Amino acid sequence: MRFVTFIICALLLIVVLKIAELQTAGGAPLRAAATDQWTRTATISADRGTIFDRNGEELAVSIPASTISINPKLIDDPSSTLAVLTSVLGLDASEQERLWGEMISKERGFVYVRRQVDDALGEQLAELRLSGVNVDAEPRRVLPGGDTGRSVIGLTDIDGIGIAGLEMQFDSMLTGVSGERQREVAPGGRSIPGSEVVLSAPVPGDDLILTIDRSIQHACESALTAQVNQIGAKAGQCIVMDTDSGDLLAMATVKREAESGEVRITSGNLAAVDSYEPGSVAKVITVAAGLNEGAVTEDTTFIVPWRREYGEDLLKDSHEHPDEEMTVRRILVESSNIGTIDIQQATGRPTHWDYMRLFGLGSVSALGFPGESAGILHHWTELQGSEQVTVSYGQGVASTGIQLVSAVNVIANDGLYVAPRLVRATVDRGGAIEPTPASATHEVVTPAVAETVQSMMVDVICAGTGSRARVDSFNVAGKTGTGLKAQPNGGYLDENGRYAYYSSFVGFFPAEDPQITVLISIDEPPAGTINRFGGTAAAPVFSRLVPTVAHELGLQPPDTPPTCEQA
Amino acid sequence: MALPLIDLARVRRPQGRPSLNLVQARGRAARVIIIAVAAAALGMALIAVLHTQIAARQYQIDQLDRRIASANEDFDALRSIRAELRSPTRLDTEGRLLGMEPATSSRFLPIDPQVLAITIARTGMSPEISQAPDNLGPLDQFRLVKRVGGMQR
Repeated sequence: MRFVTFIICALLLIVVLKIAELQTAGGAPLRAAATDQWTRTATISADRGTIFDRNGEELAVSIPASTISINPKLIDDPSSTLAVLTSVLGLDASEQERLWGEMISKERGFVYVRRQVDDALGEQLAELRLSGVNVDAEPRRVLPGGDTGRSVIGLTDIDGIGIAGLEMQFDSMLTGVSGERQREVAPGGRSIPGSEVVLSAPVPGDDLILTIDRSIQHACESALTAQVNQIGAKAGQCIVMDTDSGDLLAMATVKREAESGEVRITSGNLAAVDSYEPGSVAKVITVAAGLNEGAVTEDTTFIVPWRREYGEDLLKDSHEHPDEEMTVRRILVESSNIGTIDIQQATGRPTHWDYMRLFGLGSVSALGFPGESAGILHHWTELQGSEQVTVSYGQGVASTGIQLVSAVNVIANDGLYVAPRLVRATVDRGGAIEPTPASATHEVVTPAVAETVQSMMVDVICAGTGSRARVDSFNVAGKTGTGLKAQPNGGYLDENGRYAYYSSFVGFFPAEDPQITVLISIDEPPAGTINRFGGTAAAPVFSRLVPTVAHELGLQPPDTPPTCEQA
Repeated sequence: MALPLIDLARVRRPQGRPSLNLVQARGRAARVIIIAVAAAALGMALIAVLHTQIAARQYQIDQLDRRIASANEDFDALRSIRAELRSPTRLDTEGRLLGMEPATSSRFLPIDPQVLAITIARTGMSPEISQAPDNLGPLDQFRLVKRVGGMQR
């Protein structure tokens, strides 16, 4: 009897000790396991920051959407569940087949049905309370203005991570901090109403205010698309820059799709990532360098033939003319290649190279855009053969659109280089605006030299190659460029013995007090036609764009209508 | 009739009578227990009521949080729709459907000083300031909502 009592007491003691152990040190894992069984923790996505244009209009915004997923292990009636999902979401045959396989095999505990669907559809499904069907909030990124500004804004992937453009560049700033939500679930996997607890609230991301003006951006894209379509070119670029601040009001690129032939706004920002030989627009740099160094004045003359041999190459002007005495001004206005080489040689090749660097060629701009190109600018000692002199008129050197417009903007901005800028300010989580630092500047040429070159560029419009850039309401200045595109074979002629062109026009207005600098580039205008030149392919776009830009910015035309009498 | 006075000193206690002690009344302890139990029950009931009230308030707070979150979502959806309606792409398309074309030039007309004076006198406002002060733009509206509701977003 005593033995039995002892055994019972011992067993009771063991039970008591076990209970004590479970209630103290050994209880935590079991409590956690129990909690896991009846609770579900979900991530609450933080709102991704909005991207605004300079006037506060939304360019990219995240809107509420729902993501539908299933837990096949909890689905009791696969056929009716699939029927409901198909009916509400409009699943196609392949999607139905995929989901049916998952529901039958019951191997996985989580399968996406469809992500970021319309919120109303999500609510509709949630109200049905289907066993094993989850409806979670997952915002969707949209561009309310359609494709306007798409090249610059970039895009995010399905998970809301920036993968191109500004969305990628400022991803960490735009992305907030996700929160966590816990809910209790019944055995069927359904949520218990009222059991939801927010463990940590999500913190929204910061917002970006760009320098882009949505209306000007749209005008650029429309004008480019129309021109590329009209002349049958391959692609086009348009950049509109505030002369004083370097703020980019528009940065547009369009391209003809290889398959459909349709001209569309590109998803990549070709104006920052693609470089090309700028052609005669670069003569502005050579002339400004010569003037600033005192190597030439605007009235210095050279005897200029229409062609001359350099090394093994015979370099030519665009048209045949007798040997004639040309002033520096006339060389720029008539865009003489040979005359420009003479100016470069008077300045000195090392000095000319230094100026190209000062004008911003050969280095990535301050934008820091993802994939941005530095262009190609070999050191003057590395240049071979005729390239030593062709760089003076923009062949043998490559620049991006943003580099080229910034370079010409030096002249418009009275000799001061101002770095381009795309982000004007940010909005923090408290709604406060924090302006970004002003663009860095450095003096490249004196204001007097800049003014002289400005007047020469007015003459380019009035009496030179840029006559089609004229505008009724404003005096404008600019320079045309028709660059040859380098071919994969290393030369300028393709396998069919044809040239391909890259035609540009960079101008600014009002000429008396420049406020806005504009670059228009047309990629591969039809060779063999009059439309292959910068003055015919690109300059007309500038002319069409100026009134719109002026109107949007409230720039008032001068009282006296523009004239070209002086020229 | 007067009663005879008793000499208490002479009164003797009868022999063999047990000595009595003063004891607590029985019902008193019971009363104390009852009161304590009642107090405890009342306290627990009050705590239960308090917890119920807290739960009810928490439920209201949760509901408000959900409404704020829902309102924020509606705000985002609506401003996206507004941005779409105001987008140059849509306006361009709609304008062209109405037979309109982009202007090729702008004309700035001087305002007659008399018209300007009459306008200011009648409205107290210069025509240049056509926007009412409380008519916030999309960015300012967004900042306001973000400022007051940032935590709930």
